Amino acid sequence: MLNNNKKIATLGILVSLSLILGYIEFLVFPDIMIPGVKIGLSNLCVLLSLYLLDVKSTICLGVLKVILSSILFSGINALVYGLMGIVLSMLVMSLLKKTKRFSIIGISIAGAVFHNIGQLIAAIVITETMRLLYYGPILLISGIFCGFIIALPGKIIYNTFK
Amino acid sequence: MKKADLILIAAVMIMAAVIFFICKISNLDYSENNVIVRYNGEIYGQYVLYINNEYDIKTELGYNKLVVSDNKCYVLESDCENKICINTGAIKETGEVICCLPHQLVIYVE
Repeated sequence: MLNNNKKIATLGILVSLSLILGYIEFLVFPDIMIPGVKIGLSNLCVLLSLYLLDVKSTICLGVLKVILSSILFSGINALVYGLMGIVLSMLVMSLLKKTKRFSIIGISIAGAVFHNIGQLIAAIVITETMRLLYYGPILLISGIFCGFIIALPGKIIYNTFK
Repeated sequence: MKKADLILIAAVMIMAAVIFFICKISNLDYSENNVIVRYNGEIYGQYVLYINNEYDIKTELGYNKLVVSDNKCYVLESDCENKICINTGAIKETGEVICCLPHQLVIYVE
């Protein structure tokens, strides 16, 4: 296990890395094919933090990442959606990881899918419009793909650093 | 990949299919070609899809320009951050949705 100083340093690196990845994503592919669907490169950092550090650090990372990136890039209006997404995603990821039945691929997919579900729930609640459920299938399926893609580098990096 | 991973993927896909069919079934009740604009949970405006026109949607959160033409509608301009509403393109089928979440705006056909 990592000692406290090393943990804080790793967490700092992961937070800044997640912001940079978020910005790269914002620049290179703001919307891949479907409007509103993003790969979620910064989810890689959440995944790594969950595996290399612990749940508490991961919650720190997720909340910091959402607050900072909404101030820096996406505007303060997006904060609620981001928070709802990241909180639900981290909750499900840490619960599923505790069961020890899932590989890093499954955890990553669950994280991506529930990130999307969280944002959709936030959107439905805020706009009070059930019609947004129309996006449900697209968001779920894209979550599977994005989660899978993110898990591949995640697995390699985890195996190197563990 | 473990067995649990595959079960998870299958469960998510089934969930997607169920939601898809729920949306399809709930759309059967509507055949009229109206464009509904909802802001903050309330109906902001209701327009007819076969009348070509441009509508300015001004709310406290920002400005969007909705264009209705040739039985389709799309958002032409918006001062939001992500422009997802513009990138969504044109909608014409019942149940299709354009949303501008930064402006808490949902536009749909029913």
